[in-house]
Amino acid sequence: MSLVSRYLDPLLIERLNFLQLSARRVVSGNTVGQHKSPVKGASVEFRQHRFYVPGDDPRRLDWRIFGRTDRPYVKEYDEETNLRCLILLDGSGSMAYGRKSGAKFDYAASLAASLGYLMLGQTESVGLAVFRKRIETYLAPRGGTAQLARMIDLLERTNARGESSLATALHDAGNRLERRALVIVISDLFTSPERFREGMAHLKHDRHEVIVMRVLDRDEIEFPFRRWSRFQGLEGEDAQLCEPALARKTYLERFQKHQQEIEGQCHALHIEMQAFPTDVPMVDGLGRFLRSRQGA
Amino acid sequence: MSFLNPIMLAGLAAGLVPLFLHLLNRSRYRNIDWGAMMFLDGVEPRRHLNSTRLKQWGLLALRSMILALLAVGLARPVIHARGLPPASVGRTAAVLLLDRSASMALNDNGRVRLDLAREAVFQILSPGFHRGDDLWLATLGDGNPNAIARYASDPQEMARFVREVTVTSGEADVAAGLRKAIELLIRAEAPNREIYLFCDRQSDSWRNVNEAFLRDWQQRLSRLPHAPRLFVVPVGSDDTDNVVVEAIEPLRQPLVTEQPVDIAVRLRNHGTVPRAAKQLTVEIRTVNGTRVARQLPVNLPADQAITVIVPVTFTQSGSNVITARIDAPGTLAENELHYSVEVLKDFKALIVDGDEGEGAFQGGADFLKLAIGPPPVSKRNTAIVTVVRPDAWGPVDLRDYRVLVLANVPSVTDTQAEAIQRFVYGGGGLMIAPGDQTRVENYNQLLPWLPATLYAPIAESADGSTKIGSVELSHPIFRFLDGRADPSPAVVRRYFPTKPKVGSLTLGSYLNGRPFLFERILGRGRILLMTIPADADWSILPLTHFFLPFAQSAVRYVAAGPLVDSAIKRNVVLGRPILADFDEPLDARNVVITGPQGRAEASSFAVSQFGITSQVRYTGAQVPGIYKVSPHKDIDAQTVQFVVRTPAAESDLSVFPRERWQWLERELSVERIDPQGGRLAASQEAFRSGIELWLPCLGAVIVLSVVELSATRRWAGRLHE
Repeated sequence: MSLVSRYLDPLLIERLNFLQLSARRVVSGNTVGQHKSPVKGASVEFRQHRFYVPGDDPRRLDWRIFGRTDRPYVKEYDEETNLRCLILLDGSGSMAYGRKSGAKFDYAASLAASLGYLMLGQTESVGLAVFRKRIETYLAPRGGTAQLARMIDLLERTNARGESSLATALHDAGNRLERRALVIVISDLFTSPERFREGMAHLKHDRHEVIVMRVLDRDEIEFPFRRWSRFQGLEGEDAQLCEPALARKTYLERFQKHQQEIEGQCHALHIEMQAFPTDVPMVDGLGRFLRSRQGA
Repeated sequence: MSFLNPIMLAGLAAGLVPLFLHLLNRSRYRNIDWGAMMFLDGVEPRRHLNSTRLKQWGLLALRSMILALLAVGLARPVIHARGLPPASVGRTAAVLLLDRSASMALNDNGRVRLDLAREAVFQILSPGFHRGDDLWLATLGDGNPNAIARYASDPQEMARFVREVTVTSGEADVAAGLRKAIELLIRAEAPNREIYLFCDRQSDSWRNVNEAFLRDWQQRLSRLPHAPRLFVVPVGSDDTDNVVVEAIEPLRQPLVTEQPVDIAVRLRNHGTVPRAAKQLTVEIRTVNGTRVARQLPVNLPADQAITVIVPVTFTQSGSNVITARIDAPGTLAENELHYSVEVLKDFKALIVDGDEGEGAFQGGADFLKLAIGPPPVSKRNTAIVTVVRPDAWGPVDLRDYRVLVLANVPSVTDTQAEAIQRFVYGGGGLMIAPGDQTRVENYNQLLPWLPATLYAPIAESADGSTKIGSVELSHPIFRFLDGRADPSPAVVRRYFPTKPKVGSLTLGSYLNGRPFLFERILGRGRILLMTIPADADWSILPLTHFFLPFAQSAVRYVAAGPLVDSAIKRNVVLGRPILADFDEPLDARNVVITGPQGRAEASSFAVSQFGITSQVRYTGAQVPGIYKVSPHKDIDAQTVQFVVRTPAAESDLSVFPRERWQWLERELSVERIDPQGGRLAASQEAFRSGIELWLPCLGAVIVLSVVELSATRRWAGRLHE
């Protein structure tokens, strides 16, 4: 199986060809694209006049105004730019869990590759950052088909291991992104809601659009264990010996509460969040998500 | 509480299964690499942990209780208490063990103990049992452990069996009875099994109920689906008063007509009260009649035995029975004791005198003749003594004698040696007093069965003389010494050194340790070998006061060999066969045996022929008393009287101590019912009434199961949600 086919399901690709991921807010880009850009430049849609300052392109002078008023004004237009997207992929140890449907990280990597394929096909710029306690690998957003190969190469070289700090990674990403972009966070979000909010707030403050894709294993949602088990933390936490039948109630209560708090934070920050259980085929999960964005 | 199916109680162990599984699962946890540890961290805090553990153990206890209750229910528990309705346990199989040993004949405040036991049985039978129940009656004290138990399925029929039971003179053995009861109950199909033991309070009956019996009992019980209930109904009082004639013993053998002999009668008072001036009667029974020989009053101290010496004289030779009877409290069978003896018309001694001296009292034969055959006018210790020269006697002459004395006989011929050996084997007595004429090499060669090898005589070297230093005082020969340690003042200057042979017994020694007297049993006869002559040449023995009683006692002792054997055979304990030997061939059709219960069936005895002798073997003696075996139909001089005696242990009426009762109740689960005051039936009903509890147990199992299910769902959550 080629690297591409490992992370990109042909069936999914076929379905994605009929869908697109569009930013809901104005984003900044380098090339002309489908998305409105806050950068004013050459375009058919006039926006305003501005007094000429040294350094402006002389070609953008409105010679008619200059001839009538003898003052140099520059014409500004609303420019349509391409989408800059950064996919933040959680590469921490907790993403390695997967009992029946494979590791969460594999699912998340496929999700990232699919999104990259989708957006690169729309002539967007896509970057990929893998984070643990901070961003450890960063692939700057670029366009072109070669970027997909670079993304897949990066995914191929990455294993889920070590501790994670989502908030730190989000701060890091915010600092790296110079212009507004679409930030897609793919993680299990096993972090405190407060820290999650801090990171997300940073991105929102920088006027990035953020999409959170939460990847979870069904075991983490339902905690179906029955026999005495010794739970060994994948991120170095102390082992915990317990009878699942008796711990289950407390676990589920905590999980639900955490879920609600995360959702509450996202809602407050106008962040779209979507859960992706690994036992749900990505074709269905991602397709449903993209259709919902198009319909919105 | 009891269980009708106690084997199911083994299922109680299933109560441990939940605990075992819990611990097993806990010890066999699996490892899971888990990402969402933040939701598990401290999921069981101390408080929660304690609560969780409490719930866990609660669930475990519930599950264990369910299984244990199920096992108990299957074991069919029955709770017993007064006032409860009878348990619906179906038919009953019961073994009634009735003690009819000799002690049950004791008169207890005007009632015989066996009658009291019978009444107790009747109280148990009605209304405790019904038609269709399996009932067995086994008796204790039969003397025959293989006696067949009588079966009835009707209490009325069983009551009839019980009425027919009579007292025996046997010995009760509760342990054997209980074993027999278990064997009977193994065959029973009735679900309810019971054993009733009706006995007196005699401790001896329980002598074999010990730790070994307990182990055997438990092993036998394991063959039953559930243990039978064991009821003991002791009858009679704790009164242990019983005066018995324990033993009769003639102090001297052989018994000869018209010669007075002392009879030792041992009496024992088992009671705690001394008895004064009780009449002791001694009777002599011949095959033709009975006469009172002596009557005298005796005093009996409490809980002690005394021996009364009664002189009697036998008037008729042949088989005689000495009867001693004491007029005192106790069972009839034990107030009276018989002892069968053989009385000789006379007894003859042949003295072969080898001494060369011709004067009076020159040889040992003179002293011996005077000692063992005093003038008839004395009427005491009379033997008919014949003295012959060594060359003047032949083997034929020995037929008429009971004792042969070789006094300083130089040697014997081969024929004489063979005749002497046959004589001794056949029961004759031989006494040898070698002297200066004796050729020891001839004795050693032709009489090799002598007790010791003789060597050439030697003189005592130190001071020229020695003395008889010690004798075996416990031996019957030396009974006349009454235990005196210094037997004889006789000075011995010369004697025969000897070397004892295997099977011989040294009865006396000189001061220097050399043997003075040997004894050996050869066949039915006895041999005495002295190492000094009976004359006064080498010692002054015949001149001392020791010689006369010694010579008489020694001669009587060797003469009584076969008589002692016959006394043992003629006085047998109940249950042992009667063996009557006759020196002639017998026709079995002419043999007649009569006992206390009349003439014995011809099929109950057997006659065996051994050459010219015969033996009658009779095993049908079921009751103690006197049995006469007549070889020629009618009572005649050949008729032999046998005494069948009660076991001595039955005489001891010591009661079963309280701590032993407690031990029985604890180890054997004995339920003791006191029949006094008419409470027997009520007690039986109380023990047997009750309610079966299997249904409540089942209900409790269902309720606990529901509780367990709901508790599991509540505490553990829905696993498949």
